[in-house]
Amino acid sequence: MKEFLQGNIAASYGAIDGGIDFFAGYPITPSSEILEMFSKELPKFGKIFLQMEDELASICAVVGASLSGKKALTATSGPGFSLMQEGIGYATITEAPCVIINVMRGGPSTGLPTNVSQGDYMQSKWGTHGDHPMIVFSPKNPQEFYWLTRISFDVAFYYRNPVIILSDESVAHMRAEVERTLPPYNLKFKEKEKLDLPFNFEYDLTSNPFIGEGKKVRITGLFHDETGFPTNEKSNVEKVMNHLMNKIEHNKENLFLYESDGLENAEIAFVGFGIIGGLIKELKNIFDSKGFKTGFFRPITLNPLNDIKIINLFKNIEKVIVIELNKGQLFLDIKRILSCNKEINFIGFTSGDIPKIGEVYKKIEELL
Amino acid sequence: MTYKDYLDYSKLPTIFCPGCGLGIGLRAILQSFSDLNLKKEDIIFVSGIGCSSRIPGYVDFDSLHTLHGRAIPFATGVKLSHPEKNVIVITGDGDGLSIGGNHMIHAARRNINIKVFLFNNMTYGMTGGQASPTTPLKKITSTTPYGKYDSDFDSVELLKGAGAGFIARGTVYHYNMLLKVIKESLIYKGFSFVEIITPCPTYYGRLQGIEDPAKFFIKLKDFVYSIDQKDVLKEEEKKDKLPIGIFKNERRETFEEIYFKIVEDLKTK
Repeated sequence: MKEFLQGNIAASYGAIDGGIDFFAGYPITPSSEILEMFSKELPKFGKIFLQMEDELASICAVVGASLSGKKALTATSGPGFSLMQEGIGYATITEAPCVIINVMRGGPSTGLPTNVSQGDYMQSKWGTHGDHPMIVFSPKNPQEFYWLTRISFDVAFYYRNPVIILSDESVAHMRAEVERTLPPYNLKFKEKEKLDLPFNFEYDLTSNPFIGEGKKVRITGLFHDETGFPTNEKSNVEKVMNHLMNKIEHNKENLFLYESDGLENAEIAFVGFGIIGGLIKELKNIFDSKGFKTGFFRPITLNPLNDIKIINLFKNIEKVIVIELNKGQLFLDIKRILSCNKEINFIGFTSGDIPKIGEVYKKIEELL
Repeated sequence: MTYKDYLDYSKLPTIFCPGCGLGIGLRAILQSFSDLNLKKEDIIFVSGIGCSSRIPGYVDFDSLHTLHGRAIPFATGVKLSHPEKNVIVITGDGDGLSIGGNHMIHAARRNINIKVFLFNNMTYGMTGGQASPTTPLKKITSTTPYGKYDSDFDSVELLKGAGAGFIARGTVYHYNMLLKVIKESLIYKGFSFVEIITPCPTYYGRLQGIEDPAKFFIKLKDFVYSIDQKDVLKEEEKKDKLPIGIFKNERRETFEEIYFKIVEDLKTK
């Protein structure tokens, strides 16, 4: 059954259908509808809803719940996402399977609370200090926001890692048709070996006990051994770091979701993520009808990017045009991956609005 | 079970300095578990960052050593995931009253059934003896070389204002009284707060000229007075001293009681 839903509401249903146990959050525009939705819905299912004193407390309560084996989620925006970074880093080193929705607004600082931007692309991947693994998905519309939120708990628990859903003000406040169906993504979840210790650094993915199961689970944000006890013994530190990074790096083929069309026969490729997905699809139609050979590419998974896959997809492309609502962030990744033999261009908009197609058209014409 | 059964001997010795009072405090907490027959699988320690926050590493049950100042929100997440468990926060004066001060007052207000044991050594021991929010006025520390300019918190008054239902203070010198206070706080239903004053001879003591742990313990004895003596003692006998004892023990509806009642009511609607 199709329903007419706002993006933030669709995402909340995604979490509910995905089996959410625990939500903690703090009011902030433009993500507050998610907080309000859960305040109403979660007590009905006997699940936990908490309005915390700030975003620091929100992320910490969520990580505490996820380390207790619960499907826990928080939702925030710009300034709140900045405050959460230390907690997100803690979730990576303790392998806490939590989910964070960041509804991007204009930044830096308080910036543009009620307007759209894509300025947190890099922050979602690298926001917390130190090397760390991260899984980031970005939806283009309310339907995809629903699907990605619904599947996020399975991904977080399978990889024992936080998952960030990088949405934005437009996707969050847009109203569109949404079906509460199973996500169409071909993500594989294999059986994992069950272990008794809280941590394992030998294998990429194992099933380890959570707090409260009576297995003496010791957890620390310090580098630790497999019993969870702090140690800075050099070879162990390397082992932990390699384990954290490898569990994502070795599985990026499985984790890398994207949408593309026409790249194999095209000379020009339009690239963008999230809300820009609709725009680049339309640009392909327009420029194809004018005799150009174009294609488009939209990563749904922003981290990890599958570099080899992207290189193969762009084999025949000569000119790449990256379009974003920022000063060039996905652009930097695309340049890093493809720059050796292609012309990579960037068009950015930071006024707080989605650009009109004519405006984008003119800028592209200048590049052709 | 004795208090020893709650310790993980494979992780000893502790990282604490000679003369530190944290071991005594830990023993009092574990002795209380033993006296109250708590099962290991029913206890979860949650701590932040600092000397006292390293305590959870040495126990033989679930423990969570978290971020600086954030033990209480982590404990909130753990407690509401496992409402039947005894979730206990181990924190310090810097962790719990400075960087984590906001969480402390909100947890008191929210009244989730978690227990806070705050070790007050009046300094940041882990980082080298800097001034903390409980360092008394005009004391010398490694960041107040000319004497501390600003006043200290009275945590008991702070927690009263925030609405905590159980508030107590003890010291590691007054072991039997500490044991009693900790047991009372564990029996209490709701958010409880116990401040445990403990000496740091290595940093705070050395800068006050009392690096001898034994002398510091005697000092501790003279630094406090029993709240039961409040009306008997003269004002000058109480000057610059802190009262110890149980200051408040009043039951009120907990967050869990209210929340799960709403959950039940919604089911029948």
